[in-house]
Amino acid sequence: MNLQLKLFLVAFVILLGVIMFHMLRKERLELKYTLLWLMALIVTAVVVVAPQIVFQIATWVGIINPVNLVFFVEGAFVIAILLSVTAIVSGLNRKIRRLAQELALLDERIRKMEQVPRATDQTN
Amino acid sequence: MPKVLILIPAYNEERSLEGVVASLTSQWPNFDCLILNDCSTDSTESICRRNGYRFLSQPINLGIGCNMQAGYQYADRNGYDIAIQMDGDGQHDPSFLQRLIDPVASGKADMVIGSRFITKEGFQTSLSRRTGIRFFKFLIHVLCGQTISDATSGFRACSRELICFFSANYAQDYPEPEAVISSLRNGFKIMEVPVVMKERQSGVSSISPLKSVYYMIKVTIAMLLSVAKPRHRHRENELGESV
Repeated sequence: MNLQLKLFLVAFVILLGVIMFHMLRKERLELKYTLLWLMALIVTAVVVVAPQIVFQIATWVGIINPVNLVFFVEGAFVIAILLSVTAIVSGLNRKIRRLAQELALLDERIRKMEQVPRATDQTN
Repeated sequence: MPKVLILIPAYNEERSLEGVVASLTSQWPNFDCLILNDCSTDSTESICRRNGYRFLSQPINLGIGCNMQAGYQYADRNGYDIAIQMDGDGQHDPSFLQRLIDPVASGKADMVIGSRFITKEGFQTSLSRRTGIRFFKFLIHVLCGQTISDATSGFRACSRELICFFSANYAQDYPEPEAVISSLRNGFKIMEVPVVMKERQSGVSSISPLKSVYYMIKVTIAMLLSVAKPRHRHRENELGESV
């Protein structure tokens, strides 16, 4: 990996880190859902700065150029993050349905309670 | 006489809840008690109904932080002067409540935490947990300059001002240590008093050994982050209602 590419990737990782920190600080991101991003960032930074650490792994899986390992690691994280986002959305969807049902049941109970005094008024 | 509300978060506490509430109401008949049922899958809710407890039942599982926050919102809207958090599993002894209330009632502190590590009596929890708690103590000391020996303790009393603050801002996942830091950062006074804790009577901890590494990393990042967050205005109400 040449120095030019290394510097470019380092700058990219730092920029992403700063944006994420800013969004976390402003509470636009929730930490629970951001941990995987943080992990991706740290691993990518390590692979970019010191590819020799992971070069052995790269040769095992048949990657010749270490820069491809960087892209592979990033790709793997993107897939993992997308999968986790799908899981989160599914969970949220289930919760929203449950809340809507609860609201409809409560609405029915309130309407029933409102009808009781009116019914007694009519009999009087 | 301040108006006191005891908040008891309960997730599947059918075996211990009645005992906890019975000992509480026999010792403190003047205090109101609110059970926060976080969508339990056991008979916690029917126990609350049968005994006529005051309770909130969440329609979905919200997690301990969000469930607790609902309790603070209830305390806020119903004008309580002091809210006390107490576990539903029998770890916390209601006879220590006076110690928690006094500093809040006299205005000496906004939050009083019951710590088992001051006199080191009673159940002291496992070594790994104590190590984690000691790490939080170190972190809080570095970040806020105050020594809190048991930041994970869920046995704590809060003032009216802090009730308002928590009903608008409360950490969601593992809230206790984060609540300590955000309170200190926002200028609230925290004090600790010695208490003796018992081993939980039933149920399992919300933190399994598998999750403990995740817990430590997440809480540490959250604590560091809460120092970087902008300070909140006091008496802020998310719903825009007058406080």
